[in-house]
Amino acid sequence: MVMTTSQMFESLGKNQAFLIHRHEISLAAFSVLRRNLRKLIMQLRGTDDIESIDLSERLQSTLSEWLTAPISFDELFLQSVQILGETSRVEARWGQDTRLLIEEAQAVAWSLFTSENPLRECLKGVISDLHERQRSFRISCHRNSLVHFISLDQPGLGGSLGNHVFIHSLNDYKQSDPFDALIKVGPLRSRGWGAVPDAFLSAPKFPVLIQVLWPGCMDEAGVGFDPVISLNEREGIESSGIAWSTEVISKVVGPPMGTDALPMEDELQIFREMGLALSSNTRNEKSLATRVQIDNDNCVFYHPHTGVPSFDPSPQAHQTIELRLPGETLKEGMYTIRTLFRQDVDLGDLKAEDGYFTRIWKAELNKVCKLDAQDVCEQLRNHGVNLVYLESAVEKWCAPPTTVIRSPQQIKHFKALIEVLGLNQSSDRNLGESGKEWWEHAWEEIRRSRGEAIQEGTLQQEIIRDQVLNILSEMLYEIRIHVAESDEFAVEIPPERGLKVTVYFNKIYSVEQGFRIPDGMFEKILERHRTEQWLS
Amino acid sequence: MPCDSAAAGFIALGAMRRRLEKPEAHDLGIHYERILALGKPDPDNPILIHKVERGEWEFAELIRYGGVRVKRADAAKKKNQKAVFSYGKSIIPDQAGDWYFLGEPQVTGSEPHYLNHYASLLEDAGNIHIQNLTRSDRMRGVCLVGRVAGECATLNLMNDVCFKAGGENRNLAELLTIDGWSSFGSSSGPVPRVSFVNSRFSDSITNHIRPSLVVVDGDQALLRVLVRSEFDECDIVCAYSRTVERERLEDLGAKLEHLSQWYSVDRDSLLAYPRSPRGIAISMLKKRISSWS
Repeated sequence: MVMTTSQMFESLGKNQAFLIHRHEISLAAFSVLRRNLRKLIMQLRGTDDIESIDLSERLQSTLSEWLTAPISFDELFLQSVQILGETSRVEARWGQDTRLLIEEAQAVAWSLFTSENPLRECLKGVISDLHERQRSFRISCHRNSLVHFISLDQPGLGGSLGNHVFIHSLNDYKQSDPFDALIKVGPLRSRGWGAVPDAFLSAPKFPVLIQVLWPGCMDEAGVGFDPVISLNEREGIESSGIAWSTEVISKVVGPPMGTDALPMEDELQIFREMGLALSSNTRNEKSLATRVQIDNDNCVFYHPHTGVPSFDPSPQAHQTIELRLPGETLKEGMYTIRTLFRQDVDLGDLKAEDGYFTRIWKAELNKVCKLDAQDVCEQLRNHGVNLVYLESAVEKWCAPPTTVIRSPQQIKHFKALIEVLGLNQSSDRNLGESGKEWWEHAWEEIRRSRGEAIQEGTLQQEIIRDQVLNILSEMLYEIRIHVAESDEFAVEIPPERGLKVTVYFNKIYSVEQGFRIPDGMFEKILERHRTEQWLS
Repeated sequence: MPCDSAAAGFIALGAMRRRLEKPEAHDLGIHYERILALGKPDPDNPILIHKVERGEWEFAELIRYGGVRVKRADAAKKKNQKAVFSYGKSIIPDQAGDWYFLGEPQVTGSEPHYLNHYASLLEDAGNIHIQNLTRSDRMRGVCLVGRVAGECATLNLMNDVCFKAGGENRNLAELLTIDGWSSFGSSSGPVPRVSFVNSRFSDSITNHIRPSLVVVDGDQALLRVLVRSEFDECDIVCAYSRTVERERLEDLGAKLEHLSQWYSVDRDSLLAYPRSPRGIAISMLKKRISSWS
């Protein structure tokens, strides 16, 4: 239930002052780690090698998360640094400087391993204090970071970290009642990691904003933007009656590492500028896009003014299945609808339906990984799959196909995988007269599932899409059963309706505007970490 | 505004209420001019309806000493009806209010609606010119431009705001008297004193409607209004919520920046304005006047 206008004005009238408590936590070892990762990211980004850039993007994603979420210094943290692989191979590939950076980063990460992150400690203190004083509060965080916040919950916090406490989007904020304090880890930024709605500052439903963050992380200038307030400010006219004052509380934790004078840089700002610089060269070849995140790792871009087939599961929805505009009527909690035309593949005696190849290679991969995953990785390396984070990648590829097929991103890596699994040589599979090899059929299946392959002509697609949406409107009972069970599911259009179509439903985690992407990237499933570069 | 609200409706109602004080604020004059203009080529709406004698009427001739003669337009369609219509009817200024154009609301009503509500609406207001409550004012009065999500989005918000006066509850949508928003039938309901434009569609508004004030509901609707030539000569007030995505705020900011070539912040008026409630920010732009003019 959205609060009424009167309630909003009552709340604003009641809060005489608006305060930001900024808790800055310094930990020398973590500062060294940040610096080294930042340097690595910059070095790798400067290359023209796909894997280096991919690695750089992953590290950027990791570091951005560290700066905007209360991470634990646990195994996952350690693994994040170890994705760089063995240092001997790193030196061979990227040189001694890079190796030294990585070695130091890994050593520091080891030194932090299992110790308590002081930022988490501070955050627990803040929450516990609010809980004791019976103050209502909300926590602003990205949906992907939720797990770090949930893990903070302990008896002292009285189980106060229920779902209702978290604000992930502007829509969540609009739905929220007034409260006493908003907690935010990391700086206030308008886009990307740490992004918050401008309304937090320009239309606050709370008198106190508590920020817990690492040093150097600056709030982006202009967060809380409102065009009218900004217009008046230029004329020296104060207009909305909402003014924030900031109180900084600094805390230094742990021993110094000879790096007391280490200048703290604002990585999030650096990454943003890096992205802008990269995109400015090709700005004219890119289009405005809205990013719709469909699970923890993947997202799809849509044109902001193109209707997206979607399903709204809320009981209040007038029209459950229809085309909605991203950011305007397409919102978190709804489901995107993607259609895949099932194509039989002619295998001579038998015809294989969609998913046939994926089921086979995934089953085979799971089987061999259970026997010896290390050996699989070694063989893949011998076949030229030189991903430094190969172990974790293989683990992902083993995941069963759902609405997204987790697989190698590059065609040469996929071919190598199929060769290692011995499926190309499989004599008991007649591949018909297509002339294609087994791996090519399997790759085609993956491409189509990602929305990369052209399925039909545009007009024909539109006609079929409308037909599919009409049929789905008659299948609401079945769809609602799926919705109750899962955030992603597939529905097959009954064959008697004359369409060989599988419909994929994915719950929308977030809808974010402010991207400019190359035209070829629309409506494809992309790994989220790859897409930060397109923030406009 | 610090949240989604019916602010645009309040502004439109306040402006409409002020116009109720002005004896000349009604459509009768323009309405009669439109009737006279039926004799010219390509009138924007050639069909008239009489409040009592139903059926469609069209221009026959101008009367030498003033007025217009009209004849039945639907005679040809109704084979059974004979040519009793050849005499037609005359329309002179005093009778113009008995006629209205096909597809448009009536310009005069039989009784003044919502007098208690309008009378008690503003503390410092002047007296209402009571005849205005039975005369429409949609052609030169206030025009409300609805949000891009569609007419219902604006209407639903206005329906939720209730005013009580003289023991009677009326919602904002009713008090705005926009044609089609009233629960009354067209003949017994209030005459429209506010016109409405749906910003979702880009169809031009008809030529005869040239409001003096346009009140826009929402930032996106404002961006659409600012590129429409029909509103070039109007004063425009927009109410929007700050609780929208950054992209939208930036689009609006860019538009205001662009406008600053021709408009500047009206500091004097702004500073003379009473302080607004906390959370509401108001700015005013006025056209720059060239020092040569």
